Amino acid sequence: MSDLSNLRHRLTRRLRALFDRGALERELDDELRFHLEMEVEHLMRQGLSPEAARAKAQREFGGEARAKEAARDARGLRVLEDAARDVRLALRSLRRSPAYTAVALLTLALGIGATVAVFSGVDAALLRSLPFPDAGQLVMLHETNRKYPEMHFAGANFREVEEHGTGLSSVAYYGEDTVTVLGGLEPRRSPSALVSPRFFDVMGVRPLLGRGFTSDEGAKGQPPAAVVSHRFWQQVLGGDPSWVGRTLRLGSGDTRVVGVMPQGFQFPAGVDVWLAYVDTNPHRTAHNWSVVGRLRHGVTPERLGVELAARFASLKAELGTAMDAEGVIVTPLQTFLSRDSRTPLLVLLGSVGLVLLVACVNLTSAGLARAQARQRELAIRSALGAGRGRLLRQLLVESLVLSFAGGALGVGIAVGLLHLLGTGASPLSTLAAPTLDARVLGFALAVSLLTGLAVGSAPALHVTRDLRGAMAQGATGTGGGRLRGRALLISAEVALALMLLVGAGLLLKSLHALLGEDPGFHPERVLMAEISLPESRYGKEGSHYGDGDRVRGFYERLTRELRELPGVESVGVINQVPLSGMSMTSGFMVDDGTVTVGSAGYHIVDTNAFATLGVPLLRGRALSEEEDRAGSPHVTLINRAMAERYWPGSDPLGHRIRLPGMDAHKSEWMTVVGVVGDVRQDGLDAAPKPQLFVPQSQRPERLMAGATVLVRASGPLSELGPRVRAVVRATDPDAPVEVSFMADLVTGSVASRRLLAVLIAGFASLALFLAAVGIYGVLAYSVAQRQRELGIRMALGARPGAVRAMVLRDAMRAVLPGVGVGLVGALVLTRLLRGLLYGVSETDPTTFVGVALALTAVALAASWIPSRRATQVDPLLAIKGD
Amino acid sequence: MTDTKSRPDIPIDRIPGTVDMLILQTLTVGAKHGWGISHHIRETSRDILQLNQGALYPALHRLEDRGWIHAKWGVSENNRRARFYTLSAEGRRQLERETAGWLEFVKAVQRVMQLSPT
Repeated sequence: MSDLSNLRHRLTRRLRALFDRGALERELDDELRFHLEMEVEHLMRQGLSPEAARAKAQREFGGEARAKEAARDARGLRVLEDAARDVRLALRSLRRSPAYTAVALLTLALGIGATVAVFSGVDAALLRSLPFPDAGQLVMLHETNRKYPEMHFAGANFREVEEHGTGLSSVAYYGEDTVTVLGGLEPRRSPSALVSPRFFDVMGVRPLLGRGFTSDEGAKGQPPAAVVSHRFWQQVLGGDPSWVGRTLRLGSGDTRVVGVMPQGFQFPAGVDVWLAYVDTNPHRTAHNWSVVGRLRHGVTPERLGVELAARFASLKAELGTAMDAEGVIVTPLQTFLSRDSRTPLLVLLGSVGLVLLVACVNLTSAGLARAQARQRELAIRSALGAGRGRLLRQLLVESLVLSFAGGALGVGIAVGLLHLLGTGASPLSTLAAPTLDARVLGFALAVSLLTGLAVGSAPALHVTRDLRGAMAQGATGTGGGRLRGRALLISAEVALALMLLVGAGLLLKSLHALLGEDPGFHPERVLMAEISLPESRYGKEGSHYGDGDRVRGFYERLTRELRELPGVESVGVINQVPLSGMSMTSGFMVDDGTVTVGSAGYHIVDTNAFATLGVPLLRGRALSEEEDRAGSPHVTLINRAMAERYWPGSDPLGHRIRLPGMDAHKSEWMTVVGVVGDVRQDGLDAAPKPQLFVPQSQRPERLMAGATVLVRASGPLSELGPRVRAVVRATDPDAPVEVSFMADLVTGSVASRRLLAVLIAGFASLALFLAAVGIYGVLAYSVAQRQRELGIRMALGARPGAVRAMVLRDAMRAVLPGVGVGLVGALVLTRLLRGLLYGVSETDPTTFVGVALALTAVALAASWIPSRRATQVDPLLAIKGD
Repeated sequence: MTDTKSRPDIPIDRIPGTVDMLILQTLTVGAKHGWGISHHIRETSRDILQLNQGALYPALHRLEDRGWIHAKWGVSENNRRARFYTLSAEGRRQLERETAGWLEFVKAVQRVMQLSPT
């Protein structure tokens, strides 16, 4: 017979094996029955009675089932048909124990769900590429020097990069801002960005409607042009395509809408209006711009960095103090955008992984108990002809069926969690909202598979190892050695839970320490009204700043009206509120000096700002309406940090300060007349920085762009908001206003820390709960297994106390090593938390000891019920039982 | 009744491949069904080699899978439907290889066993 026909023959067989299973099965049955009958006939011919012949034939030939099963195994492609059968068997077996199945499913769903949810965050922020064409080529550029490792670009230096950066195919700058949009029912503030004309080319995204900017748009003398976001177009412009080419009334003046960006284009995050702006500022220290560039193919960020650093070093050598940058830092855009969320996300992923591990340990131990209870069933199946491999496979399939079902539920839970957390509360930018994409689903699948294998293999191996022994023993083994294996599982889950609890403890302690920090002001009962004045009416020809008289006039009128409102205690004005993270910084000169000797945060306040905020005056005098008029000699207040930094051990009062680059009064000297208490400007975790406060009466011009009116109420704030809004609108209907509670500033400033701490604490609690359940389960099982032994002990006169102590001792023998290992593991792992902690060391002994004690207490509590049950064993029943 | 206790305990699958070789050899005399094969081996080995269903049928399916034997439904000597197995050309070659190897092996074992005291 030729090889070809042989091959054909074999193929037909395999195909039949796959598709015509029923027929093959029947043929096998026929063949075996025929064999048996032939054998019976043969034996009868040798003189046996028909009954004896049949009995002998059956006995001698071994289980018919075994023969069938083995013959089936020898058939090709049996894997598929076996899998289907194993799944059916598994489903049947799981249906038979609904309680176990439900608990296991729930555990898996929670564990896998949380893991998938966190992974989707990791995926969005760190793995998925940004939604721009060839996003890997996009980089952020910053100027750098020894003192400030990362500075914004000056326009003049940007032009340097544009001309000489041969590693870049294109480069653009942007500066985030807000713009007042007029013409609707109410004026509104919209997030905006000033961008260089080529900005959209660099990002590689074309407008959906209209066009991007032409190369000279945004230059002086050109008509102003804007591109708007899809969201803005839909929500504010009503989705009307005819808006392209029409004029939008913006606070900065009438502006033509030249394009609408496609949905999903969000860069910088949240921006609704992009305005073309051509920077012509010659100063190389005017650090105003974020710079984004597109690398030429084959150029690495490092190479570009080296190339530009060389250029900047020679420029610096040439220009001296006129330039403060010494080099350029190049960061891939994705790295830049995700750097704040990177560590928290990885910590979260690690934590949720630990929870999943605890869940796996629990299920393993439950699976062991269950498999042992099923040993008799398995032994019978084995006697009926199922080989060890088949049984092993069946147990594994059972656990895989569970884990995949749990995984599917888990994906549902993940969707719910993501929905619950939303994008607003998430530490990620809206640029990379977590979704369940193919990668996340693949991850879910892989986690389910691994979980199933991990949870299923130990019980399966353990049980099938010695089936014959099990058959002889019956279903109840004494189980001494097996308990030892499960004690290891207890130790493992205690260790895992402890590591998580220590991490959660440290983070919560940090949060507590942070909230315990004195922000330096009293935010309670203070309402904030953020206002900006339209440039078209308050601006001054030929100046960036407002017209002093008109701006001052507006705020004086407004605050006067607000003080009249019932329930208002005091009203103040400040341009940048504490904890906002916003501050303008200015270099300053002292006492007729001609070089800047330091820098400080620049704030404009009215006379009531500090009283309204509750910031104390420490020395000198407060600002006064009578003394500090527009025409009188200029004065300033400084904070304690500034006094200590620049006049350590001496009196700052009476010294004079000039800000050469800050406002409309660059050449005017100001006398320091008072020192006020420190407030936290950048966040509760940032130490106070030097700040100076100039009076609104003398320098109101910069208030046009934005200021906050603070209203302290004597009672509840809820009714005050609409009234304040109404007063602002009555004072100027074109001034957009946003009202919020100052107390929310404090909460908001710790929001992402709180989210992280709460999530980790949640995971840790889950792990603790699972560990407690695990300990309880193992002990309860072991007590049940040892009923006879315990009964004998009781019958021989062991006191209940001694029996209970014995069980508890057994439990502690498993728990305490776990605590030890967990402590060591925590010492190693909490190092990863270093950057996330505040006011607590990552080896904080109180946390470590406290958590160890608490965990041991919980473990003891979990062991208590089984230990009590051990003392309630009825000696007689236990001895007779089985 | 045959006395099973006095018979030496010779597990037929002590050496892997033995069963396959015996089946192939049995089929050299012509087509046989499963029981026929096991009966033939039992008879010719004078009841020493017993091939039960559990070993026989998996082996038959394996050999068929490899293309060394072919199977066809036919009618048995007592007029019943039975599955008959025949040796393929490939199977014949395989048998030659196995026989040569087996004889070598037996001779080697024999030489070792003869040297040891009984």
